[in-house]
Amino acid sequence: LRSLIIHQPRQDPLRLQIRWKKWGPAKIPHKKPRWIPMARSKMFVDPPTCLIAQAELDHEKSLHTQYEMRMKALVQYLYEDEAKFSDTGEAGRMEAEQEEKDHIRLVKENEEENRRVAEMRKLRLEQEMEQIKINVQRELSAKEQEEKERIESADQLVRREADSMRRRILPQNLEAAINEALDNPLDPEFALDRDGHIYRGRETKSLKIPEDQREKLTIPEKNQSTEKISLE
Amino acid sequence: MPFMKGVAPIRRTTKYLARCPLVLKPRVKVMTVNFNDKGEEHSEGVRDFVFWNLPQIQYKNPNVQIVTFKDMTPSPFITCFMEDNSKVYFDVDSQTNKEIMDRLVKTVGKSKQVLEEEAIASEAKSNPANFNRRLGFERHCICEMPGQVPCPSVVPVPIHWRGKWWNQGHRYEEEE
Repeated sequence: LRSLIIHQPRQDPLRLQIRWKKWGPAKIPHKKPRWIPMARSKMFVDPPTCLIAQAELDHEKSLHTQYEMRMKALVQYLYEDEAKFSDTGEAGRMEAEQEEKDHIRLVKENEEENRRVAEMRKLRLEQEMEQIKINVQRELSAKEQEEKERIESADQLVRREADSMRRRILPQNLEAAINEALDNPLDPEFALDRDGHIYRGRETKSLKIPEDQREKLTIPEKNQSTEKISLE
Repeated sequence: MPFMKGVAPIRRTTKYLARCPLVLKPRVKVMTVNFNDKGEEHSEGVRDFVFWNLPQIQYKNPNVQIVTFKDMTPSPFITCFMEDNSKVYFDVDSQTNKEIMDRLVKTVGKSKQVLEEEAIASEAKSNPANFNRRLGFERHCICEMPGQVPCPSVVPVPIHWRGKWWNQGHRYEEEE
C-alpha cells in the first residue's frame, strides 16, 4: 500500500521526550527550574473534559474514517493505473526498453539489407560498364570500316576518271574514233516481259527467240563485304 | 469521384489514403527521399513510391516532415531522422514501391498488433460525463441536472449574467 507522502520534521534519533524551547530566542535561565515541583494550586487538577457529545465525536470519526478509506483507495487505484498503463510507470518503462532493443535489432537487419542492395547495384553497374565498353568498341570499328570504304570508293573514282582521261579522244585520233563508233553501233534498246526475260536490241523480235535462249533478268548479288546490316 | 483534379485523382480520396500500412513510430520525426526523376530504371520503384505511396504516408503521419530531393545522387535512398538525432538509411536501388513500403513498415513502422490495439483503445470509451443525447450520451445539457442553472429557454437568466449585458457596457452604468 502506498501512503501519501507526508513531509515530517527530522526526528530525534534517541526519541526521548525532551522539553526545550522550540523556536525563538533561548530564555536563559528558564522561568522555573526543573527540580522545583509544580505549584500546589496546579497539582491534582482534573484534565479538561470534552463537552462535545460523544455521538457527534463518533460521527465525525466515522466520517474521517470513510474519507481516509476512500482517499487511500483512490490513491491505490491511481498508483496501479500509473504503473500499468502510463508511459512512465513500470510497465511503460519495460515496454520502452523492449522497444529500444527491437529498434536496434531492426536497424541492424536494415543495414544488412542495405549491404545486399549495394552488392546488387555493384553488379548492375559492372554489367552496364561492360555493355558500354562493347558499344564503344562497336562504334569505333564501324567508324573505321566507314572510313575505309570512303577511301576505297574515292580511290575507285580516281582510277575510273584517270582511266577515262587516258581513253579520251585526241584531235589526231578523231577520225579513227568516229570510224570505230560507226563500225560498232550501240543499241541500248531493250524489252522486258512479265516473266523477267530481257530482249536486247532494236530489231529483236521477242517471240522469235526460243525459250532456252532467253536472257533472264536477275538481281545482282551484293558482295558480303559491303553488307551493312548486322544481325545482333 | 468528384473534383477529379490532377494526374491520378484516386490519390486524393480518403479511402485510398486511409489504406496505408505504414504508421511511423513516434521516434521518427523527419523522412527524406532522394531519387532521380526521369529515365533511370533503378530509380523507377522510388518514383512510383513517391507518386503513389507518399500521400498515404503523409495522411497517416501528419506530424512527420517528409521531404523529397530530385536528381541529387546517382542512386536513390530514403533517410529517417529520429528524435535522438540518429538516422536510418534505406538503400532502395532497383526495388519496387511495394518492397520499399514493406521494408519501411518492418523497420520504422508500428506493427499490425500495435495498430489494432490502438484502434480498439481509441474507439469511443463512453464517458458518462459527456453530454449530447444525439451522440448517445445520457444527458443533453447540464441544465437538466438538479442544482444547476435552469435552461434559459424556459427560465430567462438574470440580465446581469448575460454576456450581452456585460459587453454592451451596462456594467459601467450606475444602478438606479
